[in-house]
Amino acid sequence: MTALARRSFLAALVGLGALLRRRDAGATTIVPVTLEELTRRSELVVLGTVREVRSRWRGRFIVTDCDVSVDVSLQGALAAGERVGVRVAGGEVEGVGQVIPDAPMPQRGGSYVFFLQGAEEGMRLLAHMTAAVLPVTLGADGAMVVGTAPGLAGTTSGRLTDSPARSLPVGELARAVRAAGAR
Amino acid sequence: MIARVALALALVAAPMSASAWCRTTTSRTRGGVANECSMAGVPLSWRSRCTGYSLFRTGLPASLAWSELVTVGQASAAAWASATCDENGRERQYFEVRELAPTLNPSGWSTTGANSNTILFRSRWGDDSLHREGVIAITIVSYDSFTGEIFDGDIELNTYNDRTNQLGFEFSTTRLPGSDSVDLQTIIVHEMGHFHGLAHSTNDRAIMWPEAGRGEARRDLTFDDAAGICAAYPPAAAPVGVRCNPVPYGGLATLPGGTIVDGTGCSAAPGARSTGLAAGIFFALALVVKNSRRSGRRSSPVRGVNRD
Repeated sequence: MTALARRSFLAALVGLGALLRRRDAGATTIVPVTLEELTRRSELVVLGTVREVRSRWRGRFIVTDCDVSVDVSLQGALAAGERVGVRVAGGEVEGVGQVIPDAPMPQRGGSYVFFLQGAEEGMRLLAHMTAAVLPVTLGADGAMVVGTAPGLAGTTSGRLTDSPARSLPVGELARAVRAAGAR
Repeated sequence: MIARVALALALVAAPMSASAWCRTTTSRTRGGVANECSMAGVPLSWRSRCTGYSLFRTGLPASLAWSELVTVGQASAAAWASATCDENGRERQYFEVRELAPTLNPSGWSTTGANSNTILFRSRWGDDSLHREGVIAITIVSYDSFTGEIFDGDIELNTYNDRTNQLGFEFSTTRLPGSDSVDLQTIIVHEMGHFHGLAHSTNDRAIMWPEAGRGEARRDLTFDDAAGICAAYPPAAAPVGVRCNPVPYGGLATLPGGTIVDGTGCSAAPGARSTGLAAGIFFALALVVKNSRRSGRRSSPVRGVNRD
């Protein structure tokens, strides 16, 4: 092999390496998490309805406490019908808003799947900054479907992010969560 | 002139969903789709010609020198300030972010006291509702919930510590960080996008793409990033007759609890990190000027109880 050919070969290797490296790059400000990983790091996973939300100052920050009634418990020691308090970052108080971009803000009356880990002043905290609250809505056929959230990398089957609707029937998500929790 | 106005109107009037870039708004509602750009609410922006940021004096990772952090901060601010809004590259977006004196004032917003737009390394993460796992950094933006005016922006970096934060990240200043480290400038440029009022972009080459970082550097604005910042701060819409005053509302807080020591200063080596006599003089000076109003100090736009 001539010197020129060797240099070309090395350059090609470096270029390929750089390409693979770029494609393999992990994360930026948001580190994606799979549904299985999110479930494993959660103490509680519940499908619930937000009955009340209340924002308040906590020092120099605004936090919002959500009163959630559990419709279905997917993981952990909560039963349907029980209440759980969930605290999220940000909110609005007396004309001042505070936001961490892409951090979830559940709405009163909305249904969500919450992935919860840890607590603060008796309120449960999210297991991931952006991916731990999945909205539950009615699909075109009237069945409940779970939407995705920023930073959620999908399920093992990839359906949550790969399907055109980017949503999953509630039953399918429940099975995936329970399977991940059992492992 | 007409062309400039037309360009500005076109940028402002362009529907957000037509481009990959997106602006954070006063609305926190979101549908069932990740990265959906909210069309509701008022887009957030600063309403002056400039503001300033302060580097937090302590907590730097051992691998990072203060001078490196200063350089990265300046380069990150310059990346956004130099964004051009026309095809000739002559018209720049009008908003500028300047470096102010270092601070010991942490993140958050005081409605009645002094403030700082702080950039800090946090070596505890996961201990409260603001710092949940799954992010390399966050930007906390405080704003007027009716007008969308940004009051304050703080950037916090999730920093590895072998005792207190093993899930944190190692920050590098090289353009080719290792696979287990993060390019600091990539992260700060991205977070400064949020600081300006931008949300995440769906363009996977953009600075504002939510996933990029470990093992790679992306420090330069793309056309998509420039389009976003130009929509927020179009050249033709620069406030007329308004001079740049980078001091935060309530004055620049350089000590914990919003105490003002220096209203306007520029970057200096963090001498207050040292202890002993220098620190004593520093705090004594703080007490002397604590209640004084300096020229350039801006009053808080919000009436209310001091939350400190």
